[in-house]
Amino acid sequence: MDPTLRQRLGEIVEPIAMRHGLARAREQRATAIRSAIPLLIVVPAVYAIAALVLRSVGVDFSLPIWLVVLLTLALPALVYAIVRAGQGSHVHVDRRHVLSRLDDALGLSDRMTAAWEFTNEAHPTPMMQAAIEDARTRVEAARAFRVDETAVPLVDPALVSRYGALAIVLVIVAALLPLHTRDDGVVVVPNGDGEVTDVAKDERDAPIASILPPERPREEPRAERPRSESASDSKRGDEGVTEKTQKQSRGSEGTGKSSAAQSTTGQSAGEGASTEAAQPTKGENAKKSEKKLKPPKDQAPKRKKSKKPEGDKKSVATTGQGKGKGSSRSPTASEWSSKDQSVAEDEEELEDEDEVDDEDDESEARGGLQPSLRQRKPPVNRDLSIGFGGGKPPPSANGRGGPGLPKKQRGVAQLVLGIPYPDQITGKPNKGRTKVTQERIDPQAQDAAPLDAMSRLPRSSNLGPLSRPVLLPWMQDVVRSYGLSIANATTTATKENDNGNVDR
Amino acid sequence: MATSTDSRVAEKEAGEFRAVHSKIKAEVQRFIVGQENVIDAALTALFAGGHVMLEGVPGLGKTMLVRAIGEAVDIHFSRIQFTPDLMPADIQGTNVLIELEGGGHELRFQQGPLVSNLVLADEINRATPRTQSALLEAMQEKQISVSNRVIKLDEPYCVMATQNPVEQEGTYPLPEAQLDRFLMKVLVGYPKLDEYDAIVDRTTGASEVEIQKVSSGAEILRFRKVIRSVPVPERAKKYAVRLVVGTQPKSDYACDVVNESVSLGASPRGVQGLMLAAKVRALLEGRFAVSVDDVKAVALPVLRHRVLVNFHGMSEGVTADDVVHAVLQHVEAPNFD
Repeated sequence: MDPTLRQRLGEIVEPIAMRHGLARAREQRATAIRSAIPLLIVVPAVYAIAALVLRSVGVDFSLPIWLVVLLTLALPALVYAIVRAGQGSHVHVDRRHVLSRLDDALGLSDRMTAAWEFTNEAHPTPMMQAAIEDARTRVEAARAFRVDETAVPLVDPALVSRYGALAIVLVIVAALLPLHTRDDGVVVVPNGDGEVTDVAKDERDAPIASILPPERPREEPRAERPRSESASDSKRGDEGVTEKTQKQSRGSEGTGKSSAAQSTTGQSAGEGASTEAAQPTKGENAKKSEKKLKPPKDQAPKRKKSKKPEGDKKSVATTGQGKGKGSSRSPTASEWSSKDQSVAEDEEELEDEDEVDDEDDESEARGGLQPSLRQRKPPVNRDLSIGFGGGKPPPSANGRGGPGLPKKQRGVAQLVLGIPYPDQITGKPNKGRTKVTQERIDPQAQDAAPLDAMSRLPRSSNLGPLSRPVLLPWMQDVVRSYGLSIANATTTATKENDNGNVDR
Repeated sequence: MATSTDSRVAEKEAGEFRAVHSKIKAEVQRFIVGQENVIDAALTALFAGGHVMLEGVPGLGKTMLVRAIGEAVDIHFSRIQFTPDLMPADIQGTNVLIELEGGGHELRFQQGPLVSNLVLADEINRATPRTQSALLEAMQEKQISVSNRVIKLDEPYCVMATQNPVEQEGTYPLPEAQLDRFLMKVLVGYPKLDEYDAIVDRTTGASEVEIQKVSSGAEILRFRKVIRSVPVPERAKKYAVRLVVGTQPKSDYACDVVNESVSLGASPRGVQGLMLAAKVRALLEGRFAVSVDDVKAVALPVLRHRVLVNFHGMSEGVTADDVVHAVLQHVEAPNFD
């Protein structure tokens, strides 16, 4: 152990480490603040959303402004405290960190870091001692080293102003949200039981039927309904009383229409009253108003379902307009049919609840748990044919397909013609290339404009001298003898057959 | 406890190593023009006790370089020209039937060229895997097993192999296990423009260059001990480990390039190679401990042949060098923060 060098290094490192520690502590605080500031908008946002939702359904929801402000500030403060507690109060700076920065800054190639480590060794080797001595000669140069710690601003004013302004806007929006009142002047006030109660402004003592919500507009014209249904509607004497009451109340709202006129507008008022106004409780009224807020996408199928009363369903079933679904549940369905039987989600949503109940009942009736037939998964593929079915590629490279490309090449000389093979050894100066010993080019059709046929025109001028190679005398003799040999061959035409005989 | 005398001894040994290294290098450079990095890498492998693979197109002087090193150092040198019909017995040795003087015959073991100090395995990828595998035991365990005979190879033992990156038809790429045994893989490039004049003068003139023996096998063995005594601080050690782990897909230090394009990363033998090569560099740079810079400097030749690029990487044109460069950029040295 070398206390002298270690002491000298410590003298250099300590002030730098202290400054670095302070800077890191400041950075930690700034980080905690940065993480807490965005939470300024959480409470106002929640408040605004709650106000938007509740007031749209007519619930008068508002908090005192001082409480909103208090909660808005309390949440970031709480998060800041938690983050700071997690960071710890004491910032420890490793001396080797400072020395490594010093080495990097002075280009000492870890000499100081290594020397600091080796001076702590109980039994340094000669080479370690040499490294320490080497560092000792450079300590003086390191004394002049200064680290410029960049002062990180604790609070970013832009961040604070941005989120603060957003929080204020949200609070203002929440405060200014209009209270939704119904056309009948009903204000919904939350009671102590967590339920909502409708209270009429000027008709608090009026009968319950008179404060029912207005009927939803019906789309189906009354004329399209079957005659049997209208007949059955007319038979409901007790429902007619409610209908009358409803008509009266609508008249009191001043809609300008007489009760008779409303009953003949094509809207199935009687039908609606028969189902909905049979037991008109106050809780149902609130539910109806909640349903109205739902998006039209969800509303459409529900409206279809609610429009059909019990009597209507029965009449449809007896006339044979029901939809058969038994085949899709068949446990003996083939693989292909089960794959093709894709049921739309909307359809499933409508049918699932009732069918699950039915099947559960049937299962209980059969005396215990039965295998579920509702699993519409395709059956396990038991295709035993060679390959992956229809020449498909392997679903996953699980090693069953034999060795991969690099392995396969090994041990086999790459002499197969026509197979492009990328060079495995790619050197810097001359990169590996793909060798193709035989190239296949598919013919491609070329479109060209057809030429019109025309008769050859006479030459307008002389053709001029034709180039003709001048043959030497011996060449002329060769050509002559070749021509004579051909002439002789044609006169004595011979033909050689497969057996080697000559036919003359 | 080491004293200042010990430190002076260590400094002296390190100085002697630098002097011998520069002597060998100078002697080789009398024969080989340029290629300083290649010479340094070959000598690093020789002094660190590893093996080196030289890869380059024909005509760049790879074989000459190894021959020059073999002549500059007084050690036994042998050369094996690898061909597809070369058999393990041709390089390891085999029992030969000898006719005795007094009559009769005797089977006598005739050792092959693998039994040497410096082995030049020229165009190693032209031999079959069977013959390539015969090198495994010699390179790693410094011994050869032939039938029931085990031959201990004399130290220093170093295999310097060459291979050609083009003309791959009829070749057998080295398996990973074989490649992993090379400490370094060095790519030999074309000489610089101004070096061509010297090459022409030296090789086409009337005078022949004679290389002097400036070192010996015993000296190399002594310096190997000096190199192994170089200490490695924690920072450099951790950085080397991080680099090697960084080449392994899905590891903590793997970057995107590694995760996407690498099927096999470097093994722990890669860390050993990094450390040994970095120790040689540290001594040559006049330091007595390994630094992060040393590890960075030797990372490419030590790791490039230990990284196996997958099919995706090949199709994207990613090379092992690209992967190592990406790892060097991605992995940071520990700063004890």
